[in-house]
Amino acid sequence: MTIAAITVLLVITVQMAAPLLWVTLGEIISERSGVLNIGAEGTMLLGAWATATAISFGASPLVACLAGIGVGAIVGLVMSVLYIWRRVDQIVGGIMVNLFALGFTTAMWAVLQGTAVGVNAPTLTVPLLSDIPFIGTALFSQNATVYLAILAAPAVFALIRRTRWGLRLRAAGEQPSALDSAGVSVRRVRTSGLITGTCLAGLGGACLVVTSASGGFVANMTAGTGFIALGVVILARWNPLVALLTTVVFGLLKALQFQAQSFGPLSDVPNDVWLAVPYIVAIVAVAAARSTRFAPTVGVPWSRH
Amino acid sequence: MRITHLRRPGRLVAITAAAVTAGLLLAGCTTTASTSGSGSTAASADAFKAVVLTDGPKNDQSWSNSVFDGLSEIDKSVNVKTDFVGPLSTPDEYVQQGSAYASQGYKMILITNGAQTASAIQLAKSFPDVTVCQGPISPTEAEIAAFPSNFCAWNLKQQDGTFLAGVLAGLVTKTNKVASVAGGEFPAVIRQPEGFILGARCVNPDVTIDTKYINSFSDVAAAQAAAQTQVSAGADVILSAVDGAVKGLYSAAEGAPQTTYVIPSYFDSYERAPKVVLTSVLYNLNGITADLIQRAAQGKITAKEYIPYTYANLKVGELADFHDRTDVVTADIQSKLEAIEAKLRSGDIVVPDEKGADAPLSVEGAGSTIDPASIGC
Repeated sequence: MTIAAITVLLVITVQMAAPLLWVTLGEIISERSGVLNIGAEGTMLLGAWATATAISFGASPLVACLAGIGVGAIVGLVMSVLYIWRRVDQIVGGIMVNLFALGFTTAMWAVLQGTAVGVNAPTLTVPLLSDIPFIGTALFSQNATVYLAILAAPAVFALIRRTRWGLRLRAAGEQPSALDSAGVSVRRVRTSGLITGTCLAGLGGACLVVTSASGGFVANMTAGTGFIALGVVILARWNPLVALLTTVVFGLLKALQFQAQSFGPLSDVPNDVWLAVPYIVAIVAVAAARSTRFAPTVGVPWSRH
Repeated sequence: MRITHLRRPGRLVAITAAAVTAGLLLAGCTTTASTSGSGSTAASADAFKAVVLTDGPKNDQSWSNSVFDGLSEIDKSVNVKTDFVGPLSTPDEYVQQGSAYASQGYKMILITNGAQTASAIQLAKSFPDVTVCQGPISPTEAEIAAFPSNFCAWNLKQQDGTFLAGVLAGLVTKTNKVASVAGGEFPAVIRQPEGFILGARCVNPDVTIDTKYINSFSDVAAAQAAAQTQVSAGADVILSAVDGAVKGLYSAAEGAPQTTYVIPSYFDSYERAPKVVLTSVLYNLNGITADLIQRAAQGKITAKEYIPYTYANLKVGELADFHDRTDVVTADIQSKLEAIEAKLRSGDIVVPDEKGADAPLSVEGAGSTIDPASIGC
């Protein structure tokens, strides 16, 4: 494998990892608060749709990404009412959100679409650093949504571990009764966590649109990224920094699919095998991670009586 | 006060939410559109009713969009009412939707998905009074004989179109490396990149192809990744054999270090990515859709009929306008392209079929091994 091939492999790895990382970070925040957001895939798809629609009407990538985040917030608000305040089953609700998002975005893209030519977000190349062999282009010649995804991992880590909000968030997920005894509204903390999480999932969809789709939307374009995030959260043990590494590994596995198809003896392996590798690894890793379990209160509606 | 975790969900709210969502899903996931083939006035009560079932939305600027456009091209003299349902993905969705329309008196079910033959046959057997046409497929004689009498198969010679695109790519490439990103490994897709490289080799013996299958027609990230890999290996012209995922190819080409062009399919997509679209391959799917429905409405589809569409009978396989690419597609290149196209139309050049031929194009690598001289180049 040549230097050029390895360089592009790493570029693709980071590109593949960024949208997954956004959704994973959002899911970590949500689950830390005690809400299991099975609807991450649908939220991401809705964020992608909102972003692409905004671009089609002439919005800049920045404004379009804000639209994606905004739709994520609306989804989070609706989920909060259903899950936290109305105590709807979170598994059933999440499945419904995913089904709704697929149908809604496909139908809406058919009836509400501007005529502006879509573009990706501009690539921001860091001088000198981008010239570093192998990793330079991958790490220092990406768009803002990719850079921010990498920076967001330690930021979310600090937010959860080092702030009062983070402390309350973890308490809401692990010991909600204790939080309630301290006079803090568990429901409000969980609501803030869930909405923050869905905003990041919406941004994950936006990241996909402005990184890989030239600003356009395609039905079901998230292709299961939100579902993979559910597994990555478990593998990462709800730790944003581990999630960063885990998503990079998944990005690498996905990127390898395309290198392997035309790389010497590996090209003899059926394509379907390479396409399945990331998912096989995910299943094996989740199965092997025996000690990783949800906190007993995650996914369970809370009430003080 | 006793503090507990409430494990009992609000079932009433859950059921209500599920019902509302399911309703929205039914309204949204499979967008339906009705058109009338009898001009501006509504089709009369005794209009021939036909439904199209397909795998994409009506505005995907690709395969399904072209099919949808065909509904408005049905001859105005034919009294037809049509419906369009898409996107559908699984066989049960096709059977469910087809059964629903057949039960409502629709007399034709047109399926424009080459992977849904089993669903189509099941529908044909369940509704013997309904004409069920499905394609693109290229059935063998034995398969045709086994079809129900109310079943028809249709096909289009896509490889003629990609062959011409390949000729252009072979003349334009600076690196002698072209590429294709394809959605799935089945004959109706494999024939596209194989025809493409055969066309390129017809005018440039040094050109090679890198084809990558991504197992999806809509995964833009995978399409982009595949194309970036190809670009890094030197490819400078990429044929799209995907649908909506072509946007990933635009992204890859726009970010490529060297000038790289994309050749999308089904629509003249220049306006979608003017910096990188070289031309587009057009298959007149709209014309095919209109023709099939007209034939059914007029009772002109015979039992177990196989209807192949080519350039000769319905202008399948043309290249779109080059727009402002005349600096790349020079007069000399256009002249050579026109000469090859003339030989293709006259039959001096014959691009192999995907089945039945000595070297069928449904075999991966066929386009790189067939001697161009053997097909008339």
